[in-house]
Amino acid sequence: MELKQVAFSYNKQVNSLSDVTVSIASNRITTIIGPNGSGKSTLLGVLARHLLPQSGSAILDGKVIADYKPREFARKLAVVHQMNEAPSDLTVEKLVAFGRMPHRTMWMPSGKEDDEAVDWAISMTNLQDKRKKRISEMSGGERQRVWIAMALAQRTPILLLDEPTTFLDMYYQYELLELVRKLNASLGLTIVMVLHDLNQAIRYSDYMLVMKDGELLHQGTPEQVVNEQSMKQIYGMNVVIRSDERTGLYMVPVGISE
Amino acid sequence: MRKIISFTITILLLLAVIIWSVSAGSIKLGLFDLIHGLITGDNEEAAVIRDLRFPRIIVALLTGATLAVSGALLQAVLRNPLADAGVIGISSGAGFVSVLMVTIFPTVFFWMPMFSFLGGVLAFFLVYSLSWKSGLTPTRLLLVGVAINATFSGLGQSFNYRGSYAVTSVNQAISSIFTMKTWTDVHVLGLYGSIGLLLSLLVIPWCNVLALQDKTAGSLGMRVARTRIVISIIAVLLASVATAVGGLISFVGLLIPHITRLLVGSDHKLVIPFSMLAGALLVLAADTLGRTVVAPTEVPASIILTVIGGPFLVFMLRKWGREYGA
Repeated sequence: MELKQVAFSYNKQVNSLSDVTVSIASNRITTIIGPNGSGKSTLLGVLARHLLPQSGSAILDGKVIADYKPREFARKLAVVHQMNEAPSDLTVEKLVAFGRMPHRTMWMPSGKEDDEAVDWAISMTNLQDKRKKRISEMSGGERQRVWIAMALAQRTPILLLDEPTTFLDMYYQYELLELVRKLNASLGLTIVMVLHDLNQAIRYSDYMLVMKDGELLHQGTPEQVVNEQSMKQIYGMNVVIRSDERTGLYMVPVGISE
Repeated sequence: MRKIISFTITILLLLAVIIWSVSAGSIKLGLFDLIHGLITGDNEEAAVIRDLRFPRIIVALLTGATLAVSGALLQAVLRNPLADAGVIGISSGAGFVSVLMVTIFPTVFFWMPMFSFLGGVLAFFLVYSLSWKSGLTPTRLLLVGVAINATFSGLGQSFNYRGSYAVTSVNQAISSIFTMKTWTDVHVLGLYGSIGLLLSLLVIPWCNVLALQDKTAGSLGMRVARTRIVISIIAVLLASVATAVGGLISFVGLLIPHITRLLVGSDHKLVIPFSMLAGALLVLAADTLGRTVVAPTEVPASIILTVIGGPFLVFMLRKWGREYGA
């Protein structure tokens, strides 16, 4: 998947994205980072086709994504949004079954393939013993896994996640990131996500895209992107960057730069 | 289990109210005599009941079913538990435009449902576009709806005070009295209402997807805007037809879907059929109560429903405020 000179603006005055050109590596985890308002969610929105760029183009498998039929696109790319709502009395398996929508005819009962995909998605996200539970009875971390299961049931090669860890306790944040890594390693899913926490991004990404003021400032592996200079430039922070055998690369902020 | 019980009880209650309604009134006739009279056709009292009471009962049933389903659809489309064709002005828009057209062109009386529908679409379009920018938040939508409702109700009522030949038919359209309903009304409502109700069954899967967010529905491959428009048109059709024949009735579309969700859950596979039954039950019960409680005078069903519905809306607003902190 690639973006060519994409520009997007919410209000036609300020560009929320300007001249972004990037190619998303297949079968890899790519993480978009940047300060608030830097355009990282906007970038994800363009990839997800929720936002259509005013200029430039987003291309998937050689075809401009705006030219895909909605259902066709939903068989290529699934999205887990940051905030999700569902009727509170919906059960896990019913919610996950919505993921089969792009593959089914609305008024037909679900087929064998659909049931298998739902079972598979539920077991991938480790929700087997919760499948009859209602959404309202689940914890935030479990609920987030249900939404991922729904996206998995779409059986797409690409999965986008918008700040999947934001509202979770630390344990569930890492549980979720481990799940993302597992999905990438075992299924070869192409994953693009937005993360707030830099150390999580370093730890769980193959590539990082660094946004600031609607521009893509840096891209590359965590080692290439994260250094004291770039952190000062992007976040206005003085940081110390270390690497050791057990932790890998990590960053500790030590103050704001003047 | 609870769902099966709810359906069973509602169906039994509905049958009971129908029997009550058939037998209540100035002409008293045993059920057996009535059926016998209807089959043989040699009982005059049975014939009177057939010509006067039956149409009224069927109109009440269909009005209730269509209004309740219209409310359920609107709530799904607008993602708003307070949406109701009466409350947000669709019914008064429908009423006003049909009254206007009948006054200008008295000969087009049979096209009433059509004009009603146009009026309903106009009102819905106004409410939708005026509250869209703020993201269709429930309170905003309700405020815009109340304003639109007041405007169209006022316009409609202004016709009442002009004294003209049209007054009788006008009265019928903007206040709801189920008296003098004929088999013609049954045919009109039966035709358009059934079409609307059948269509509402077809869009059930869409309603369920819209209960997720727009973004999610879009990611699942749904054309959200187009789906919204289709469901809205069905909802407006149902409400307009009900208004054209049954007159202005508020709150059925608010009360019934809400109670329905409490009883059978949020899945529209159950919500839509149950709303039909419960809506029919409520309006027929209100109408029968209205014509028996102070007989021989009548309290219109719409007034009884407003008396129940007003406090219910207040209750809903309070509950909604607690849940979402508004």
